[in-house]
Amino acid sequence: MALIVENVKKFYNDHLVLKGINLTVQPHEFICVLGSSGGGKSTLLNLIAGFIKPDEGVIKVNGSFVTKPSKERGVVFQDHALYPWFTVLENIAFGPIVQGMPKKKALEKALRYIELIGLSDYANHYPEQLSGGMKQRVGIARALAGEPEILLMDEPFGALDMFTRENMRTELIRIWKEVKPTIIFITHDLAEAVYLADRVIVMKNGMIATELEIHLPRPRNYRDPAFSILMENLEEHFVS
Amino acid sequence: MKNMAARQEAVSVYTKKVDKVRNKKYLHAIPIISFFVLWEVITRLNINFSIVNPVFFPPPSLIFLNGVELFHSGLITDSIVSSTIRIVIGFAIGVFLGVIAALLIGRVEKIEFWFMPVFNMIGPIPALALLPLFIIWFGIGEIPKIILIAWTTFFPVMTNTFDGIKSVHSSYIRSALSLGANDRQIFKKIIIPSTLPNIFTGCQISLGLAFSALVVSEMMGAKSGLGYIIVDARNYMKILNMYVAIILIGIEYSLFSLLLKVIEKKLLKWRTGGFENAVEK
Repeated sequence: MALIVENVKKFYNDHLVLKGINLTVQPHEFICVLGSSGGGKSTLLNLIAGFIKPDEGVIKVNGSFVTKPSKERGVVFQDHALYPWFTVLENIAFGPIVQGMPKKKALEKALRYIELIGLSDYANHYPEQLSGGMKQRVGIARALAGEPEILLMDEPFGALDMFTRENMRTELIRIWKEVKPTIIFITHDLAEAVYLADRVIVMKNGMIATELEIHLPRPRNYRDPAFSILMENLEEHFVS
Repeated sequence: MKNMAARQEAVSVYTKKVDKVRNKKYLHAIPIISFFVLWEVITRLNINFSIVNPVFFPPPSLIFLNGVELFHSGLITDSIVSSTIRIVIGFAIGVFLGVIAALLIGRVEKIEFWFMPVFNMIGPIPALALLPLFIIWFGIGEIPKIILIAWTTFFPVMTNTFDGIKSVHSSYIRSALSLGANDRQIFKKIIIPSTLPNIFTGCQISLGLAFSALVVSEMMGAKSGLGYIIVDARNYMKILNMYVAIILIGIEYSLFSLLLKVIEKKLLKWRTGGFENAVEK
């Protein structure tokens, strides 16, 4: 049992944005939470991260309650949130260093993660000097270097162009297969959800509208007829 | 043929532009030099035609010669040394206390509750109005001058630093928390570096105010310093000395301001932005 969300409700200014969410996520599972904007998916992610607190219900990770942010739940932000005063290497080493690892070891570890994302040549660059896709890869590496059990990703590829986004999806699957964290990935892109997830959670009006398990073998192909059928299945929930 | 000519012209316009950029630094001196030349010409003409009393408007060459003379008498060195000591000590104390105060106010809500309204009330009072009071309290030595300079420095540094602390990106703090950082680490590694640009803004604003405080404090109850030269010159109608002191104050301020900018550039080398980096010229 990795993550359990039990009957979670959340109000914003007397407006119920999450109307009782129940969700169980297994270790190493890749979950995509799909929904249109304003559907409450970012709220759910912020709750799981511990940035905000539920008004009703509980969230548990490995049996203990989530009350505040913790290193077991790493977060990748849409705006990447890299620290502009640190180099790429220092950004990635941030997690290990604040967790008490000696600086030299932490930097060595960061180097391994830079290799994982294929940016070894940019270790000493500042984030400002990187392209959008590179920044987001550094954001993923920084979150992973903190060795979280669960990786929470809030529309991480939303601000990238189409081609970069495709590359990032392939990259993410490769990284996930290598490191195997549990991933909860927020998106509003149907194809992205079907391409990435083991299971797609469709959110509508603050509720889980439906769940869909995806058994297609990886790497998945957008032109595969089975892929199209799954997309059509999901699409039906948004037309009504 | 016509095409060729047009292209050549385009090339020469382009290379001219490049030259212009390369010589930019050296070009900066031209307006300054022109200013002094114009001043010299006008005041020299005035000496000949006496449109206004030439004693009040001396040409820069005479001011320079007078400056050399004062330098040989030792007055200038003494004055610069004592003014510099005052501004350095007062400014440093003001910046230090301003940053510390802002960090404490930003960190502990109770301190913000008790101190912020008081600072907001006292802050806008022109520090110069307080000088006579400081002289009564602390006498006419160095202490009231340094306190006045520190006082004027304190408020802009404190308010700017505090603004910086309040406007730290919340996703920086969120990501640091999710990576396992504690409050102290977030303060040291996130809040302080992201506030550094605001601290420097505060310092630049304070520097100008600190120089006013310096000059005024040297005009009241001082026996040395650039401000003292000015009052002394007024008392004995030594107009040339006055100009020398005014120019030296300008130069000293510019040097300090430059020093701050150099330090800022060193510490904030990660920072890109501004018009310079927005568009290539």
